[in-house]
Amino acid sequence: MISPHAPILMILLPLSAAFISPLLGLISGKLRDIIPFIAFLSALIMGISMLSPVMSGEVIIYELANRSPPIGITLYIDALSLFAAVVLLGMASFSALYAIPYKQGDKRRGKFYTLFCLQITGITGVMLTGDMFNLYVFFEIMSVSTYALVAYNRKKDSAEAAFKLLTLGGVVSTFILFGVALLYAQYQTLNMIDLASRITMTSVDVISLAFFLVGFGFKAGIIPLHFWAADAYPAAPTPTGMLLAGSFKLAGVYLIARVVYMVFGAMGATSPLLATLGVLTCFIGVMMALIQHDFKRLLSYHAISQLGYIIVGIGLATPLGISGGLFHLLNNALYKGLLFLCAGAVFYRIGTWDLDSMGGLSKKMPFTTLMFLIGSLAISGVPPFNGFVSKWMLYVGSFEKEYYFFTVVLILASVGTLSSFLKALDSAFFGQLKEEYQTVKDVPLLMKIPMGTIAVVCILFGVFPRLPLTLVEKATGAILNTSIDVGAYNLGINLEYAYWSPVMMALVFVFFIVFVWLTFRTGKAISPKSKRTEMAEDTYVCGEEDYYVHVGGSNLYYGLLAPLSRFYQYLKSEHNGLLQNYAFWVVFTLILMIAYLWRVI
Amino acid sequence: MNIDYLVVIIVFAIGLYAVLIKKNLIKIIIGLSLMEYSVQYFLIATGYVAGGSPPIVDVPLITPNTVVMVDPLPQALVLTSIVIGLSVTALALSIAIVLYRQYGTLDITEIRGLKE
Repeated sequence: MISPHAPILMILLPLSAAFISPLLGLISGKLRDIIPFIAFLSALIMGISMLSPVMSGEVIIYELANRSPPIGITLYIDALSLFAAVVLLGMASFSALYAIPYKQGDKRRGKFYTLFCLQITGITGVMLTGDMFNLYVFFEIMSVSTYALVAYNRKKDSAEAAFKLLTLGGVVSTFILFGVALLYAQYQTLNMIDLASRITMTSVDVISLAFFLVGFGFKAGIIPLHFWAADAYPAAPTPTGMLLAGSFKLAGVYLIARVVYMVFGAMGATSPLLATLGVLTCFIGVMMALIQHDFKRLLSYHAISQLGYIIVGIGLATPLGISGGLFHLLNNALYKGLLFLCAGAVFYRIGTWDLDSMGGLSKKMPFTTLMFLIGSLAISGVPPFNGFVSKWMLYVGSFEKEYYFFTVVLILASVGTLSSFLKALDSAFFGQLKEEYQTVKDVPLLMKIPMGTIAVVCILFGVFPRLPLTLVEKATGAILNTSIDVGAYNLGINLEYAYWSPVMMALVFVFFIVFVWLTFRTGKAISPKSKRTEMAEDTYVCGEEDYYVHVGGSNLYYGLLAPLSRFYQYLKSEHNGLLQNYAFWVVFTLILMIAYLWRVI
Repeated sequence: MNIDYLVVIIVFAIGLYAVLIKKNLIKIIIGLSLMEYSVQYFLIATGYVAGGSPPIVDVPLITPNTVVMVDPLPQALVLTSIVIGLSVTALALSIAIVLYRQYGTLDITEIRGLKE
């Protein structure tokens, strides 16, 4: 049973919640806190109710105020937009649920909820709209509320991150508006379907396309437009940071697929550029992550790096590549969300983000540790978790497109991800428990529910990848305008040169865990001496004098990274916190895009 | 080449210059607004018809064949865009106030707490 107004309700419910929740806040604080969650959940249900007709190939075009296109404003819902919106709203519901206990002690949290709802309204609107100008409007709703959310904590770093994001985002928004205006000036229409049939790739179109590429690439966080991301994700409140890192880039990637591929039809011209930028993003993101000391900043650079995979997938422009990219988008939203929630849980209990000052929390927060472990294994692409499936599809996709070098870099970046998460895991959860954290408890149940659910979904999608892939393949079909069969080939299973089975891998993994557990049980435990050594070179001491010396998080890979010091010097000189430098890169990318597109088209 | 488009490009370039080169937060915000205004001007210019009347339809007197109206749609779009621009500017200024309180300066090159 679908309500005929389900499309608009998906936007209206979060929007009205934004204004209802502060009103209800006057009556009861509890009621206000739960309103966003209810709104997102009901919007999600609206989305799910449309799944079956849309996935069977129908395209829902909702005409606002009963005016037919091209004059009226429409919402355009095909498999791609519905897929993106459902993933977003699902994650938003988790985030809203998590926010209830997390934000409990915050006096100003009413403002947080309003901004949060507006942000989700903006992103959902961007995904569902079928009109270029409304795209700009929703884009701005999303952006402005994001700026405000990043600045929400009113601390030094949040204000700074927000100002940088706002300036760069403001420049980029004018680019997008300029792109829309250029399209309107030529074709006198703003309807996407109408435009798609009329765009002929004149020289003005090329400039407009470059504007859009920079704008959407900025929101997604492609290198060299990623500088804001590492600042903004940690500065925002955790429930938002989780959404920013996992789902916010959904909007950027969705818009690249929608506008660049479907409206402009510029897949052939832009895809090699996107794939190259994606690989760069992936590599540089993970390299920067390896040298981080701050928990959230580390996760942020990983978010940038994971985006690289998605962009590579989109840039491969083959069915396997795009499905891999979209599936990775879904997976990334899940496990990145989980990791941010774990980091938030640690902060909630101990009040610091500094990895070097954590340690031994696994004894006090076993649930969070387990969740973080699952998240790290998933993000590193370890089977049988969901990250492996999508990464595998990308490896095979890039290999089959004969981008062999890309495959190698992607695998290397995955190794880097695993090593840097080992570092985070080791610093925060393992090792010696610090004196001041003796009384730390695990997080409340309301925070455990979203974490646990996401973790279960991570494993479920890893063991039974066909489940989400049916949706993903339909969305891919919408981008490529063909129908794609879900088959062994599309999963990359059963190739001539490779074979894997998700269930088999899960069994091997379970067997492995049982084996380790048995070893652990049958072995003789050495009781830890409760002696703590205070030495500057903890890392060096480890394993030589005392079993239980905590390894400092920042120096774990010193030996590995030392030969790369010149490369790191360059990277650090670019990430120098100077707004002008970041703005220069935005303009430089625009010029680069125009030059490239001019040559290709 | 229409003179409008030339003005648009010049104003856009001035705005971009301010964002790229100027160090004062307020000047950067002015630059942002200038960029927005130039694009809004461009939108209006695309809908303008030389000698056209304002797009106000007086129903009994409407005679589409004799009266040339300017395109109303860009004007509607620009109204929306102005509102958005206003809210962005207001937010930017309020963040600038917070920054000034925290750092005691409006020089963006000194506001570099977040790096690497």
